[in-house]
Amino acid sequence: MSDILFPPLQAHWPLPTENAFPIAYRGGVAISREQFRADLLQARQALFALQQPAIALFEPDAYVFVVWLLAAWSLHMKVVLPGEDLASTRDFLGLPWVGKGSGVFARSDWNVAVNNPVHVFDHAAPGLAMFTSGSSGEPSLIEKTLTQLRNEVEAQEQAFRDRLPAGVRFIRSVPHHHMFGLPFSVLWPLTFGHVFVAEKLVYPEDFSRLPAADYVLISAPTFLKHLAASKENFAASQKVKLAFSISAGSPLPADIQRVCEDFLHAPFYDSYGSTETGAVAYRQGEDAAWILFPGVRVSVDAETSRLRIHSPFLAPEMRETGFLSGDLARMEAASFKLMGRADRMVKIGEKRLSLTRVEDALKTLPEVERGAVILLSGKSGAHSRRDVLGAVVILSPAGVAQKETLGKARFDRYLRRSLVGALDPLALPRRWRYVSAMPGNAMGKTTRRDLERLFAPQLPEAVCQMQEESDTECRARLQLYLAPEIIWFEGHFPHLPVLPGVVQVDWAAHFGQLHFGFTAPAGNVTGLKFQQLLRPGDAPCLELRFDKTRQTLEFSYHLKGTPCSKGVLHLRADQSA
Amino acid sequence: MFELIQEVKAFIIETLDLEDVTPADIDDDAPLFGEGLGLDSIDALELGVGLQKRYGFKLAAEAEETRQIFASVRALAEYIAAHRARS
Repeated sequence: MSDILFPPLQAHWPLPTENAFPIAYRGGVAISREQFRADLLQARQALFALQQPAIALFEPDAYVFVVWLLAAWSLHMKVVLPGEDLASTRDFLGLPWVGKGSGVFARSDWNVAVNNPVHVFDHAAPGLAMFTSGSSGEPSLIEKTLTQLRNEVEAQEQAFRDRLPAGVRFIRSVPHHHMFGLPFSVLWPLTFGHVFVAEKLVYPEDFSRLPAADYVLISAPTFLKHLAASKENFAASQKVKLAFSISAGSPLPADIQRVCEDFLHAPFYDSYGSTETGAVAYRQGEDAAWILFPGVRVSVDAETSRLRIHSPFLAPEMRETGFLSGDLARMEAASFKLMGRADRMVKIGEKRLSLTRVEDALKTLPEVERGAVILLSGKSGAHSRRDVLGAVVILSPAGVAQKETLGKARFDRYLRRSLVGALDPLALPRRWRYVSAMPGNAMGKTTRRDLERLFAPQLPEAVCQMQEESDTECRARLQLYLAPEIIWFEGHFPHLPVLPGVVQVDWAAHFGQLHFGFTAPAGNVTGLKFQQLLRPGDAPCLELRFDKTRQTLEFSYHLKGTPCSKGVLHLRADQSA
Repeated sequence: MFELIQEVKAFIIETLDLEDVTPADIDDDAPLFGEGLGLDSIDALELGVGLQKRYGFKLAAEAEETRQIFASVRALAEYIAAHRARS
């Protein structure tokens, strides 16, 4: 099927075709095709000396990565992409570790003779293997033949050919070692004579500082969110010409897409796919229908309502049946609509994480009897905090004792640290609640809502706007946001939720301690005055002044210039408490 | 430097919304990422963006330098002291 749609590229694929452009850029400096050939030969020598059928490749520089990748493929070695440099991954793979941090493969060591020709690639062999978080929660290793990868980049070129100026540079804000970044930001430009940029964009400013040229931006919503927020930085210095952007990982919100398109004058596409299937479809914005990549067909499985994908990028053994994804879907006109995940996978910063896997990891700790893990969305507040995982834990007797000794904050971190190495850093729970029994309804079923309630915030979101200190006093001004979920609004009062006065005093003490570092406990309060109610959704300003000689903390809350409350906290003289 | 270290700790706690963590819980010299506070790549981005808003300077894209700046609270405070935009 694939060979009819995609007549094979030259037999020497994935070696790049010759043209007048450099192969890549690093730090704005061109890397020539001659340099690439020389580096490739050296890498081949180093890998040949290993005499191994497979390697693990972990290398953050996309150019060096490609050199190693093609060198390995030319020697018919399988390349496993760990995606993360964890001790547990190294142990699990047990393969020679190539790339950054491997030591053995420093360039000065590349001087071993190797005689077989460089251009013999086995396109039918599974040259690549990478991890995916399977729906069961266990990451599984899946393999890709070179043909699958070639078919995918050909479909990408076919879909976007008309939008690619000569010599266009592919720049990315996503890693190049997974199934979105690798084909889109590296193999595609390499195959079709476009140019790729070796380093990854980290901050939005990295993008505005690129040398003047045409670019394709391979990105993800987290980065684009920050890019949209920093658009002011671009107006003056608009030398970067964007052909288009493709984002993946999670849906690109329409407002971010529109802001980006508006100030960068280029379409921002969203792409849908998975490690198993490669790219499936793309669309220009959340509201647009998905457009299938050339050669891809989809249907909805009658029994499970999950999306089934047929494509020439699938593994040969899946070509007949297609791939049944974990996404619920509905067919709409000639396209499809995604209806959410069928299993317990969540995403943080475009990374797919299995809640089941985190819970399993928790259970292995001696301090933990059992844990339930949920995604706490950061979107409810005004500042759109990041998403984090929250763990509700029933402790073992050993855990209860340990928590007594350490106190909650230290015990939280102790548990977190115990999971380092076993889980991706993003999968480590950030918020912890300890319970003697799981909350639940009369049927004994714990719902997501039950768990979420345990994480209702006790403090407002705060951004410090000013902080100064003299010999006699410290001052600070904080912009607060009172999310409606804040626990103190609950039941106070049922029909007219307001922020209790005692909480306002408590918060003043909290932020005073945080910013001025005094350790004495708050004693009595004088001059209390409540002038205006604070309601859910309000964004009051908190002014703090700490008098060093008197050891008093003056506080006042304001709402758009109107005073709401004020008072003076007197620190207790004896600090032994 | 003491006040600035305190300020940086408050900045980290507020920017990252670290629950139940007080400045006293953060060791001046412990690494922010990996073993120490256990921050991750999203935190690095949030801190980078937050630093620009609060102190008016941009972090270099160079990963090695960023790693040094975020090596510890003290390293970050020293960097801020040297680079903050004076008004």
